[in-house]
Amino acid sequence: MIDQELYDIFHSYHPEMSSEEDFMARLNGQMDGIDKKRLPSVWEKTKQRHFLPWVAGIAAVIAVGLFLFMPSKTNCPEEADIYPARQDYQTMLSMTQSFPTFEETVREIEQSGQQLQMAIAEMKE
Amino acid sequence: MNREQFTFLVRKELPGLRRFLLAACSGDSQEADDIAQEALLKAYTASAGFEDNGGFSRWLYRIACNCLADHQRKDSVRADTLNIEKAYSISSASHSDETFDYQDLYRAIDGLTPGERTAVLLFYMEDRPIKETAAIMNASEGTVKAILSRGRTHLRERLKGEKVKR
Repeated sequence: MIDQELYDIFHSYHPEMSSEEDFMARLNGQMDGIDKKRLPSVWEKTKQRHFLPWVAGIAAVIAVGLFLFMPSKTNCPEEADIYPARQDYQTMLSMTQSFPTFEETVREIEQSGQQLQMAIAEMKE
Repeated sequence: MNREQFTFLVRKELPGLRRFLLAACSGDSQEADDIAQEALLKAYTASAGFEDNGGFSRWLYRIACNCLADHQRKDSVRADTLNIEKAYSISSASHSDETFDYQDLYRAIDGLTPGERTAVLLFYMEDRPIKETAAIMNASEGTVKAILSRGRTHLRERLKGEKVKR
C-alpha cells in the first residue's frame, strides 16, 4: 500500500456529524459561563494592578501639599528672639502662680507709696 | 483576541477539528464532541492573551491533541478491561449504518498508538506538513517522521488484516 492509497482512504472519510449549529450553541453557552466567571476576576486584577499607583499618587499629592503649605523654618539669626529675654524672671515664676487681682495690686501700690513716704520722712529727720 | 474573533476563527476550523477527533476516537462522536468542546473552552480561556499571526489552527489543534491525550490516558484503564473485539461488537450494534462503513478504518486506527494515530491523522487526513505536525505534537520533525513511518506500517497491516477477514 503506497502513501497515495492512505491519502485516498482518509480523504474519502466524510462521516456524518451532528449539527454544527447545535455544537456552536452548546459552546456559546459554555463560553457565556466562562465570561460570567471571568468578569469579576478581571475586575479584581485591574483593582490590584491599579491599587499601588493610586496609593503612590495620593501619597505624592499629600506630600506636595504639606511641602507647599507648611510654615517654613528660617535660618534668620533673630530666631533666638522668640525665646523670652528675661529667662530669670520666667523661671522665678511658678507655673501654678495666678495673677493678682485688681484690689491686691492697688493695695500693693498704696503700701509701696506709704513705705516711700515713710522713707522720705526718715530722710528729712 | 476577543470573543467575536475567536468564534470566527473557530467556525473555520470546526469541521476539520471535529472530523479529526471523530477519527481519533474511532467513530465515538459523543466522546469526540466532548473533547472538541473541552479543547475549544480551554482555547477560549487562553485566547485573551493569544495574538493570531496565522497560527490559530496549529495552536487549536495542539490544545485538542493535549485534550485527546488526556482522554486516551483516562480511557487506557477502560481499554485494558474491554478488548477491541468486544468494543467493536458494542460499537457496531449501537452505531448507524453510515458509521458502520468506516468500521474497518476505525479498527485499523484503534490499533495504533496514540502518537501514531495523531501523526497519521494530521498528516494524511488533515494534510498538515511534517513541520506543522511536529509543532502540533510538540516533537521534533525527525521524531514525527519516525512515528509516521511506524504508524503507516501498522495501519497497512491492520487494513490488510481487515480485508482478509472480510
